Amino acid sequence: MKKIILTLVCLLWAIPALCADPAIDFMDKLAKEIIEEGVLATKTNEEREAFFYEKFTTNLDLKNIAKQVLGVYWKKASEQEKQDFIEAFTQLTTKTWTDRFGMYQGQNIIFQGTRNASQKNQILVDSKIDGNPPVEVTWRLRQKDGSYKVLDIVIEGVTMVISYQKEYTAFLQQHQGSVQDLIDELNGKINAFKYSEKK
Amino acid sequence: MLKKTMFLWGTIFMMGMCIFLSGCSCTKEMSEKQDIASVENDPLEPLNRGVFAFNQAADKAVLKPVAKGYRWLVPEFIRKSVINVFTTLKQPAYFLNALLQGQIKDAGYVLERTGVNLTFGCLGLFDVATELDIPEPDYDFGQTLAKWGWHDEGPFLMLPLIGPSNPRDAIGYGADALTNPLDWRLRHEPILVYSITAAEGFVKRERALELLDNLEKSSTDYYAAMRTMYRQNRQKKIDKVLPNEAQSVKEYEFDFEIDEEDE
Repeated sequence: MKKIILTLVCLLWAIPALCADPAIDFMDKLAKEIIEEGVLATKTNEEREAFFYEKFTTNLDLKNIAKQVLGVYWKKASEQEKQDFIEAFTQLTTKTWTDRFGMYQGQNIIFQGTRNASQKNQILVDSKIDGNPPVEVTWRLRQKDGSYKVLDIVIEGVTMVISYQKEYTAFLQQHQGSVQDLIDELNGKINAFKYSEKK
Repeated sequence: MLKKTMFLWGTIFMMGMCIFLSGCSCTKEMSEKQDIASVENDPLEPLNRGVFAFNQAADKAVLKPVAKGYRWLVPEFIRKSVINVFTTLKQPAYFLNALLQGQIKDAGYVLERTGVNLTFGCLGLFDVATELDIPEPDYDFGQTLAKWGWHDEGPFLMLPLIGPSNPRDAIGYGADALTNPLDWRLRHEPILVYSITAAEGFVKRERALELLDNLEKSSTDYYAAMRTMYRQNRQKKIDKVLPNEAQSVKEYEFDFEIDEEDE
């Protein structure tokens, strides 16, 4: 009898570990690092920007994001333009999100569950940021060799990748499809970027 | 009522232009541009961009400076109460639209929220209902029209001083504006109604100061960025009231191609 009880206790103790979803664990850890180390522990915008640049380059699938964002223009771009675009896009995205996280006011993020995306090795993690009203955020992750990388963020129905794609396509259509013009424009934005003053 | 009449005529004019432009045949160069416009379902793009430039100029000259001044002058707790009052004034529209969509339970929540905030919340100054975890359904007439079968939003519209929209939601916006109890109460005081409408615009702009600044300074084409973000966000709200089979999944289930060498 004692053995049965002991086994049951062990099983009950092990259930949370068995049920733990690695994709949620990955997002939970990343969100905690961003809030605790990137937003709360950093004092200057430069410090915060350096933190986000490191996080983005290690946790985002930047090459595939850039490819998706450039759409049909990816194939037309030279190797050098592809590399320059990825770098400029990463830098501007880092500044944009560093600025956005500067508006953080202590909201919690709750990860609710995962869904399979229609493409293989891609998974969607649903989450909610508390507030009035709460904000629904879905993360598209890519699984490779047992680890995850973020492909897209969907905030209240707005996917970042599609938004960038539509915006850049509109720009490229007005500039005869010149990816170099887009890179120059992104670099201009990076140089002119000024962080918002705190509320 | 004058502003509503002007708004409706403006919408009818824009819709007429959409139909005209989408039906006309032009030169090769023009048709290429139309191909681009048709992908974005924005046949009025040149006109819309003009309206957007006007809105931007008005924002920089008036709306944004006043919103900044308002933030500087008025403490946050008062600003929050002002937002609460404007939200309370929207409850009749939420209630009617919940009923029109057959969402009786949500209509009940709207009544409950309004009752609690008008009494315990001192005429809507405090949002006690949220503190009590009473759900906050926010149905609008654009959603109601979608629920009644108008699923396709139609061509993109940039409305003067109002912002991104489409024929269905522009009509919805006008219809919802008719339910504002203050407009009815003050219908013989048009200047007062305009002033309150303007004040609501400044209050909303104050809430979005950082967000819109952030979007503008990071966009290579601010108009295109606003267009796609508005559309995607709006589609999500429309999908919420539609049965599963009528929901748009194209934005969520887009084919995210992975580089094969990276597989």
